[in-house]
Amino acid sequence: MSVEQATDYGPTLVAILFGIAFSCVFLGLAMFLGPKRENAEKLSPFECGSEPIGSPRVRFSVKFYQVALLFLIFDIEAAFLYPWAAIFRRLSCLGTVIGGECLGTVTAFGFVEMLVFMSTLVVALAYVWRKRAIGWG
Amino acid sequence: MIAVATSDFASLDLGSLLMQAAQVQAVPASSLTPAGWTPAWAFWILSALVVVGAISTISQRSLISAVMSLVATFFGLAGLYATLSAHFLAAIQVLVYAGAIMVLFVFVIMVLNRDEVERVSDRGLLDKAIGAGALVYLAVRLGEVIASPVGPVSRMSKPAPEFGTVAKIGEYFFTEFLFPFEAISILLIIAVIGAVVVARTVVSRPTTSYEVPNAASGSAEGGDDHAGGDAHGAHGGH
Amino acid sequence: MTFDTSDLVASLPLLFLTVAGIVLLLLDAFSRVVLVGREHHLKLPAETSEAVAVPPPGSRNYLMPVTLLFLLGALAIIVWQVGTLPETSVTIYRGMLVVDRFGLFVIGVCVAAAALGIVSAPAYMRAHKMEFGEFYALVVFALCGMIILVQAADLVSVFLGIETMSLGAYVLTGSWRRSARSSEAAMKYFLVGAFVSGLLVYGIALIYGVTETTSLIDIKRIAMSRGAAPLFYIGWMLLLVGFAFKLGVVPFHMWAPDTYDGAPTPVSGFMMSCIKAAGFAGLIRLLQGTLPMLARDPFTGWTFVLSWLAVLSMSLGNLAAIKQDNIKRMLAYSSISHAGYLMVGVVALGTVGDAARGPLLFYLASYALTVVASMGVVSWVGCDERGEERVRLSDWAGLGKREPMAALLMTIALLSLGGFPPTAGFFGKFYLFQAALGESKLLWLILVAIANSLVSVYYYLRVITAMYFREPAPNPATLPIQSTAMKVGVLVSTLLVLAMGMFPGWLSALCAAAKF
Repeated sequence: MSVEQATDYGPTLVAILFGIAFSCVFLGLAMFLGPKRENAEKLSPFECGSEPIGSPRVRFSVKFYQVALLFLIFDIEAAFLYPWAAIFRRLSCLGTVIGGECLGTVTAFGFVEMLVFMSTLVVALAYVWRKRAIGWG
Repeated sequence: MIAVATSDFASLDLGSLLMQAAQVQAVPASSLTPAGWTPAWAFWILSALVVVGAISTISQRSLISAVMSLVATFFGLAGLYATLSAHFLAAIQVLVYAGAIMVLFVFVIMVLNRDEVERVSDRGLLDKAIGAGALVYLAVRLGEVIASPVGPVSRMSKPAPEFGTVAKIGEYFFTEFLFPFEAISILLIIAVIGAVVVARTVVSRPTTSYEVPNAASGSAEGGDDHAGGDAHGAHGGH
Repeated sequence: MTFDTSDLVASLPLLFLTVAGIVLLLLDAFSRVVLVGREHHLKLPAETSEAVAVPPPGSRNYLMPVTLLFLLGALAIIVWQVGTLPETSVTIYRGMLVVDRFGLFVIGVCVAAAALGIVSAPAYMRAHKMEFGEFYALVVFALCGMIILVQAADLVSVFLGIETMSLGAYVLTGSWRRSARSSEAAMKYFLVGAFVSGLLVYGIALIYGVTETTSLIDIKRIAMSRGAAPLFYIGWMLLLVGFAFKLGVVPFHMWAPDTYDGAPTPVSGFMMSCIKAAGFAGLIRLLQGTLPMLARDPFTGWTFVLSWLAVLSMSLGNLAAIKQDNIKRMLAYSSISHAGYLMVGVVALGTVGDAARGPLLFYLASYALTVVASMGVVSWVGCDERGEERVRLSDWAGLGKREPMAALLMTIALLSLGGFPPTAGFFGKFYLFQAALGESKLLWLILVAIANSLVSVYYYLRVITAMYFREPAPNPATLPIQSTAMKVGVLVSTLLVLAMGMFPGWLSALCAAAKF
């Protein structure tokens, strides 16, 4: 990745601005152009056509939280893969790398260091699997 | 709690703090970026987003609105990282913090299911005085540091052009800091165990008397005593 | 890109324990598991009942001997390493860890204390209906974190070690899911711990900002040559505050009594002994190993700051302990005051220098073993028929008649905590104060420490008189935990405490040899 690419956030900025402008325009259009004829029926909470019963604030199962937490942990693990992939060829090469080709001895160094990390995580995954923490049972 | 209580002081003093912060940050924002396209106003917009988002986070009544304000703060931080040529960090900030961690926050709010909270009411005069004193002290100290001739910024050498790119971060992770990288797997495996152990449902055992009220209230609440009995039956089998 | 395989041999204890933890986790996960389904939890609506994989009661008991074997194996590796270590310290993993006698000694203490502590875990967990197989894996992984912290040669390793160790401790603290106090303890510990992690990272960031390095050796070199910038001061002050929180030193102790009191007793013992030992080792490496030049400044030097932390910690810890009717909580406050005595040792390190390191390590080892012994007895005394712990002073009345062995071992442990001869605690204090007296400026600190030891005798003796001279309460429905492993564990640790008190020479020689 060249320096110019890495630091050029222009397209990102344009995309963000476009997103903001787009949503503002359509919200604004709906607000100013849409007819507003409110009545009691329209303002009541809508629940698939049936009368709402009880409080909407039911307590959710802790299972949601657990799944989210596990997702987060494995997400962080995946984040480590990007930098590894970016320099994998250089890690596995004892000489210089030109155009993705290694001009020296190819080693398993880069592969093994990620293998060690990943195998620990596979253990974690196997553990989670056996403990039925993923899946609603 | 203290942060919430002193937030109004913080907003009062915000202007002067911002002025001071700008003296430090305006320099690196323009000089450290190799491509040189990030102007000073990028810093101002992003830091305004961060500060406004943070204040909104601690002052919103609705928890969900507070979380959404925090998302705005995280986006602002990601932008600041990008202007400081920490590109990988900026991407991870959006992916992990603004994405995954915020999902977790929303789930926590749903699990806890608290009613909308009142703002923390103003507490005693003593608390306010302590908060104000601490803030003045902080401002004075910060001013001293910024005004000192050998500032922190001048000592930091200019980063290399490829600083903060994914490849450069990878080089750090997998050569110089290889050990911490591998050791993180221990940390993550503990986190996985923790998620399973702590969120585990309490399992009743039929042996002792103190479970009875629990089971009774459970069946009364749900109007269904079949499930409770089921669990006991399953457990009594071995 | 190459890799030095001799590094792997040098960090063998860490690698061995990591593999041990993984093996224990897999053993727990792949032994027989039953599904307990569809039951109510708190006030969940009926439709959200869940199936949970639960091991049958008692089916995970074999994990304790397996863990014990692993820990003894790690101890053997450490002893072998000490024998083969060159005179100078070895830096491994590109300057991330350092292997030296100091680190190996503290790791040995941690592993030994953990081994003596876990033997009481199966019986305790069965009695309190909180059995879970992950306990052993968590203890072993937390020990891995301690090894990283104790051997850290880089601020990144310091932080990683603290986090790994603490994360394990948070989970262990909250693992007694049925006990509201355990959850409260874990919550407080976790929130404070997370806040403190922020302080630590902030401090590390400031130090990195000034020195442009995280390596402790380079930081020492730069701080020596350039002098310390204001930001550098703020940075290491934040680190210091972080460590003070983790060690439970007044005024950063708010979490400690609730956490040590609410956590399952074997976990409290583990935290008070191992985490304290590893944390102090990390602090010593950071302060004396890296920043010795910042020790002696009159008002900003760390000896000045730490001496006040020591005074506060000793005095407030002892004063609060006097009022306690709950023995576990009393031991928690006593742990705060012992952190104060240990801080006196760190202050002595800054003023007297290397001569104080041996006595400090002796104190650390003796305190760790004594805590394990006393917490073992607390587990031993057991619970009432509802599974609640019997930790009130009135519950312990007449223990000398009911459980003479437990009462005797507790007496020895309490005497050691109070610093009576012929126990390890006496020589711990004796050596420490003697070393600190090498600098006459520290006389006032030692007088405070001695006055505090005298005060502490009161509440230790109160437990002993309750056990032997008070009539038991009319409702003696206490069910002591009958477990041979637990009794042997407490007996061995108490015998070690006695042995260290009667023949202190071998250990103090070992401590004196434990150099950086």
